[in-house]
Amino acid sequence: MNRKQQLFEGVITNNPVLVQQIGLCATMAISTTLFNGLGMGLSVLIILTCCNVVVAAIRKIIPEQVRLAIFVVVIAGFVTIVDLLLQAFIPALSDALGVFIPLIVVNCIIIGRAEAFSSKNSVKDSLFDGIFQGLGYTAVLIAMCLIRELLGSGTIGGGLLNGASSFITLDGTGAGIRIFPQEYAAGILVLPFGGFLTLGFLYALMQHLLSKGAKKKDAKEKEVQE
Amino acid sequence: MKKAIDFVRPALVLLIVAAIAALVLGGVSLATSGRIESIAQEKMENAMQAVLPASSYADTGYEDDGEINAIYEAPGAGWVVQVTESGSQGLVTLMVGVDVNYYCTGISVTESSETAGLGAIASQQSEKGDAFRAQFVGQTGTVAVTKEGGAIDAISGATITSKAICRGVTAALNVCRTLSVSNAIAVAAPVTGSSDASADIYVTQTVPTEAQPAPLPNTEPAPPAVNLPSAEPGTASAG
Repeated sequence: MNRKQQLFEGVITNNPVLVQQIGLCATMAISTTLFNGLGMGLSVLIILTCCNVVVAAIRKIIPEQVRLAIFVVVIAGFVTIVDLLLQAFIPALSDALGVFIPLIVVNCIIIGRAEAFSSKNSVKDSLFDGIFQGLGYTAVLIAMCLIRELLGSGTIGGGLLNGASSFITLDGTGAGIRIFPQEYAAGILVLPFGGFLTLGFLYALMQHLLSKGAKKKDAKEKEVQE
Repeated sequence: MKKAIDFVRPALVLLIVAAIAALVLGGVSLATSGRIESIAQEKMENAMQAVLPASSYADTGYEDDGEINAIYEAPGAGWVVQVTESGSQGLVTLMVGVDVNYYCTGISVTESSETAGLGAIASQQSEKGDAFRAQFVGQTGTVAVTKEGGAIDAISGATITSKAICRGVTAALNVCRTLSVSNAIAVAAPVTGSSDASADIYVTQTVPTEAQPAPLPNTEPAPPAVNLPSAEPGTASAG
C-alpha cells in the first residue's frame, strides 16, 4: 500500500471529520482552546492506532456474528487505559476533556475504521491507517480551535501558551497569547453554536477545494486522452 | 456436531477477548490508582492552603447534601467548605475559606467545565481570574453580583457562572454559622485528630442547644442548587 497516498487520504481526501463526517460531537464540544483540541486529537490518535492494530491482529479469529461486540470491547479497553493514564500523568488535560475521553468509546471514527479498514487489512497497513486518520482528526480539531479561540476570545494557544513569564504551560492554565482585547471578540463562537458555524464553514471550504482538485484531475485526464 | 461448534465459537471468542481486556484493565487500574488518588489529595490540599492557610485540616464528617460536599475545620482559623453549584455548562466545585467570624478568606475553583474564554476565567490562573476571585475575600452574609445588589463584579459574558459562585460562597458562609458551637470547642480544646464520629456529634448537638444564630440583616438561605446534568448539544448526539 502506498503510504504517501494513505497519508493524503487520511488527512485530506478521506478526512474523518470533513469528508466522512464522523466523530462530530466531540469535535464541536471541545474545540474551544488549543490545549483541549491538541489533547483530544492526540488521545484519539493513540486509541485509534492501538485499536486498529489489535483488531487487525485478531481479524481472522473474530467470528462474523460477534465482530461489533468484540470491537467495542477492544475500544472500550483502550479508552479506559488512556483515561486512567491521563488522570495519573496529565491531570489538567483529564480535567479539561472531562467526559469526552470516555465518550471516545462511542466515537464513530474508531469503530468505523475497525469495521471499514482494519478488519480487512494487515496489521502494518492498519497501524498507518490509525496514525493517518488520527492526524486528519487532530488537524481539523486544531483548525477549529484556532478559529474559534481567535475570533471567540481573541487569544491563540489557550491553555498551552502563556503571554507572561513562562511561555509554555503544560498544566492547561495558560491564558493564551492575546491578539486583541476580549471586548472585541465574538464570544458566541466559543459556545456550542459557534462550533456548528465553524464546522459548516470548514466543510464548505473543504468541499470547494476537493471539487477544484477533482476538476483539475479531470482536465488533466482529458488532455492525456486527446 | 459441526452446528454446535458454530454456535459456541462466537461466544467463546467474545469471552476470551473480554477476559483479556478485563485483566489488562485491572492491571492498569492497579498501577495508576495510587497516583490518581495522591493527585486528587494534593490538589485538594493546595486549594485548601490557598483559601485558608493553616497547619492542619480535619474533616468534620459533614454529610454531602448535594450542595455542601464537605467541611474541613482548621482549628482556631476557621473552615474550608467544599461546595458544588450548577454553572452554565455543568457543575462548578469550589473551595471556600471561612474565618471564625464568618468572613470569606478566599475561594478556589477546583472543578468546572465552564465555557472557555468566558466562565472558564473563574478557574484560570490569569490576571482576570485572580481579580475575580480576590473580590470574595472579606465578604460576609449574602454574597451577590452587582446586578443583584451585591458587591461582586461578574465576569463579563459569564453572569451565570459568577452567580453560581456567589451562591456557593453564600451557602458556605451560612453553613459555617450552624457549626459555631463546634468551633468554640475546637478553640478551647483543639480537637486533635477529630474522628468523623465525634465531629458528627458536635454538629448534631449544635442545632438543638444553640438557638439559630441571629441572622444578619441581609442573610437569606441560598437557593437550592439545581444539579442538572449539563445539556450540551454536542454530547447528546453520538458522533
